[in-house]
Amino acid sequence: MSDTVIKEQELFERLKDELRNKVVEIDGETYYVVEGDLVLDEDQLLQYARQRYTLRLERNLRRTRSELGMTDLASPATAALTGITENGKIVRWKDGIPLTYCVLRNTFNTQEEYDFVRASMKSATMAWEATCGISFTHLTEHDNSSTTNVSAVLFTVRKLDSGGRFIAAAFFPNDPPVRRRVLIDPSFFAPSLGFDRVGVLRHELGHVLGFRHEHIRSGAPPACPKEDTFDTIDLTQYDPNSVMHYFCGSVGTRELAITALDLRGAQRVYGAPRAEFAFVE
Amino acid sequence: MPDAPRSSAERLVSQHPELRELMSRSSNFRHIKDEAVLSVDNTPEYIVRGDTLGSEEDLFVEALVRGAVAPDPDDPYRALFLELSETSRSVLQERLERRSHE
Repeated sequence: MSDTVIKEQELFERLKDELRNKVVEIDGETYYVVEGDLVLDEDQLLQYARQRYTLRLERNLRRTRSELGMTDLASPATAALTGITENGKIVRWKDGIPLTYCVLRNTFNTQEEYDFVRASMKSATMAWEATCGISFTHLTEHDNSSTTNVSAVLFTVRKLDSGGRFIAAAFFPNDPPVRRRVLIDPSFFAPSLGFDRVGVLRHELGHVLGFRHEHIRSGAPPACPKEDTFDTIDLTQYDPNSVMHYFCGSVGTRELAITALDLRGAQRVYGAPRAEFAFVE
Repeated sequence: MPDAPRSSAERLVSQHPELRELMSRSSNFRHIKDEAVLSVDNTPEYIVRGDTLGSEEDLFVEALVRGAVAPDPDDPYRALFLELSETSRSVLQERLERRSHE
């Protein structure tokens, strides 16, 4: 048994001892109440103890880094977002790959719609570029393409009528290339939308970067839609205000802004914004 | 020749013929498919996870996961889940528990 496992076990036993007055029996099963209103069974409590142990290790590491004068670029212990994994590794775009896109003008009904999506994409991509180490490039020369399959860009942005089943839709880095497109439903332009439209695109671009919905995590309200969480990884704490959280169960926001916790989670995967570095060839 | 499975859901279905058989025959799943299908460039794709697109297998596994926690037996997702054999339920349960954790 490793030293880490022994320490986790010690912490688990200590935690159980701390919670001896906060034990409830439900249908013959023992549960522990933590943080006021979290009811955990023994397995969940072990996970909770492990998280606390990790947080403590990371806090100590940060203190040491601070004492050594090292900058803490990303703090995993307080980061939000949910990432995708493959074979236990976090899925992300390769370092330095330009995330090129075009906005297919011919799929939009009017010039105004096209102009609006183009401007909104610019704002949304800039928001992510200011958040973490990625770079989007709009290759405008392909906007007038007569085909929807534009091999010169990583992904296309186009209007597609889903019958209002989504406002916009996107893809993940490990989806097949044929699925690399951001789709905009006509409801995106409806005056009654009720969501910040740039925020909607920030959310979709979060998927493009490899982030899953925040509301699929434990801690999210039960009213939020359930999803298959296989091959996902918590980039730690649950953030009800995350850009990746739906407006459900009385949480989430209509602004879909990138929060401080989102920033930390994104930087954990992609590092600090590229603008913060002076690259040397 | 069919494409090699790409997503974890496609791999799961390809590894368990009983799941594929249920995917093909279930009227509950047909109903779910009808609700989720979207024609993109004349190719059927399925709306999964709210605002991303996926394959039929992605939708099927997503539907089973939703059905595993849905309380209402009349919910088509729940009805689909209840069609699973004990063996298939344990396969799905194993998937639900094998989430990556740090």
